[in-house]
Amino acid sequence: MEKRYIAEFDHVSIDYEMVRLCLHAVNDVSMKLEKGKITAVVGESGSGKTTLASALLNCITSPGRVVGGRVIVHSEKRGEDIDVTALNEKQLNDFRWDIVSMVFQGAQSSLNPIVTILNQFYETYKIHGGKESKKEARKIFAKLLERVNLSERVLDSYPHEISGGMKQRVMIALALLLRPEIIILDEPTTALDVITQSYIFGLLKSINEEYGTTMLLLTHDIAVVAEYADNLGVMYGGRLMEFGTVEDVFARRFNPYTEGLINATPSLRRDADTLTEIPGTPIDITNLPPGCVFADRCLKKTERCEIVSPDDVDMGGGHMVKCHLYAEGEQDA
Amino acid sequence: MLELKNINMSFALKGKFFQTEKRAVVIRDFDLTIGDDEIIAVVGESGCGKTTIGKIVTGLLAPTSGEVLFNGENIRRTKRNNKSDYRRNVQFIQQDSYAALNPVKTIHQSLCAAIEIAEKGISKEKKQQRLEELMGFVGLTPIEHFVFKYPHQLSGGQRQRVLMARALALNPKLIVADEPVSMIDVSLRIAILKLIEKLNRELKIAFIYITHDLATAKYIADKGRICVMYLGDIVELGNIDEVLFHPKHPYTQALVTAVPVPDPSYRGTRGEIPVKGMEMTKLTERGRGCSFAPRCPYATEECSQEDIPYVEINGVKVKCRNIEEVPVWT
Repeated sequence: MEKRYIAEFDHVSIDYEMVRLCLHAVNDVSMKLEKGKITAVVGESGSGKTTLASALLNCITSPGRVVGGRVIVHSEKRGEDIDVTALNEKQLNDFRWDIVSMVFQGAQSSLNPIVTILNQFYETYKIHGGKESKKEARKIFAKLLERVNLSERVLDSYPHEISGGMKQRVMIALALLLRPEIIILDEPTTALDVITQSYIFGLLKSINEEYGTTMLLLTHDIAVVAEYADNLGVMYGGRLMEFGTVEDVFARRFNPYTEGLINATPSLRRDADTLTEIPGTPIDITNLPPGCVFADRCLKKTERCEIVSPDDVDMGGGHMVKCHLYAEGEQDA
Repeated sequence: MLELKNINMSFALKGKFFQTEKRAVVIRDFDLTIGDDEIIAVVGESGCGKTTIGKIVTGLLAPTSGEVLFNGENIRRTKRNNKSDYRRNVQFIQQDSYAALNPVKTIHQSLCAAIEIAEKGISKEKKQQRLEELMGFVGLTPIEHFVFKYPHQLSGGQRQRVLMARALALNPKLIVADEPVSMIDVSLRIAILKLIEKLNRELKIAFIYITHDLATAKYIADKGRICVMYLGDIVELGNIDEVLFHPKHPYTQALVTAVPVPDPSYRGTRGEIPVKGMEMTKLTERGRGCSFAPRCPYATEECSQEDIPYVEINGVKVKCRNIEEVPVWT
């Protein structure tokens, strides 16, 4: 079956330009989101995953700016292709939450502390053209909350009256309010306990299956990815190092960084002796090397890696890797 | 070496005028002995009291009742000399390495302060020698790259190493490490855990490793013991392989089920988490009995009313009165 894509990052580069330095947070990233699937992007802090995802909503915080490439959403709801980077302010307001919504990192603090949950839902509903009265709309909201296993009572609460796991579920319900085609989940379970985490991901997975909502999951936890995602992109230093289906990336792990990351993740099912760290320290993105961003810490690097930045190499089956090890004929060039 | 005897800890809650004071019981009847060069992992979710235990062990908090014995002496009743001896021998490493170091002092200044405390009136040459030795031990080499830097110029992993070096300066016998790797990038975590192992093996320092992450606990306490906490109770205590591979308490079983495995071939093998309800019981609302009873699928009415005794199975202490009803882990 042919894969259908709902969004495309087309050679996207994002810089944060400041007075004395320039951060190349995202560097020439091309990635496609498969419709109805959960695509995960893993990376350590500063790898650019949140910045990349913000480009999908065109909400990169100043002084960040998309300096190259385009982000296209093939919207079925609107029946057209939307170039997110070209939208004006008014169009963006309509686009955000209606087509793409986001559950932010630390959702616990995304809610307004002095407004009840009901009013926060109603405000979003009204602004996006909701016609029902508050009384009628309440029924819609209650249904959504029921989907995430919360009682209607929560609507009358203020954020401080409910627990962290409940707030996270409220945020997920709010993100679902307008039935968006894509939901971005930025570290949705940090600061939550394992049992709650497992429960929230179970919910997300069932929402994904029931509504067919495409999800873009940003995380640093490779165990979560292995358990719940369909596709996986690995980012390091603002570059997409490897992309493919989760099974494929775990089984073949072409890029030395992916390999290192998997080998550094402790697990209950794994012998402690087989774990190894990645040597060196994380890259400083204000001072990018001319060659591969990972060359400094890579065990398989060659001279070429330090001089020339590698290109994407297609390994077949939609599996992409950015590494000189797999580029053919480059040795002669 | 260190013994915690029947520790209870409760904090007063603000009440209204003329109302009887309410207390939140954070630790209940906590008993634990730490051997000479043992690594023991204390795991539990947020709010289970694991950090409080760390603070009681290091003497930062005084328990409401119960005794902390160091080499057989109660640390709160002992003579002044013994007390400073205890303070030197038990060190604490915090989670947030950035907050734990003085931001306006260089690494050199931070470490030398500790070295001077360890040995009063130490000569300049000896101090430098000790500094080099310490930094070499924790892997901050070549030391010229680090000594004159400020904390913000180092990465999280390097700062955590500085904290280790600072703790080592006092030649401790026990280090309490409170979530030392939770704020460090995944690729560097293993290196810090390996360092803890090395300190334990080569310098015979005992560790209490406090964490919420079962996977790193398994790594660090590979041959040691694990102590699983829930709302201030030790629910299960014993050999780590026995506890993690054959969990007996319903809570441990739920916890082990919930941990995702970083390998897609295990996907879907975990099954449902055996708990009722996702919300933890409030500390002020629980009764005398088992804290986990409201969420436990095997609990009977008596579970939340009676004191729960420990039972011992295969050398593991389990706090459950209904253990026969709990299915054997497969």
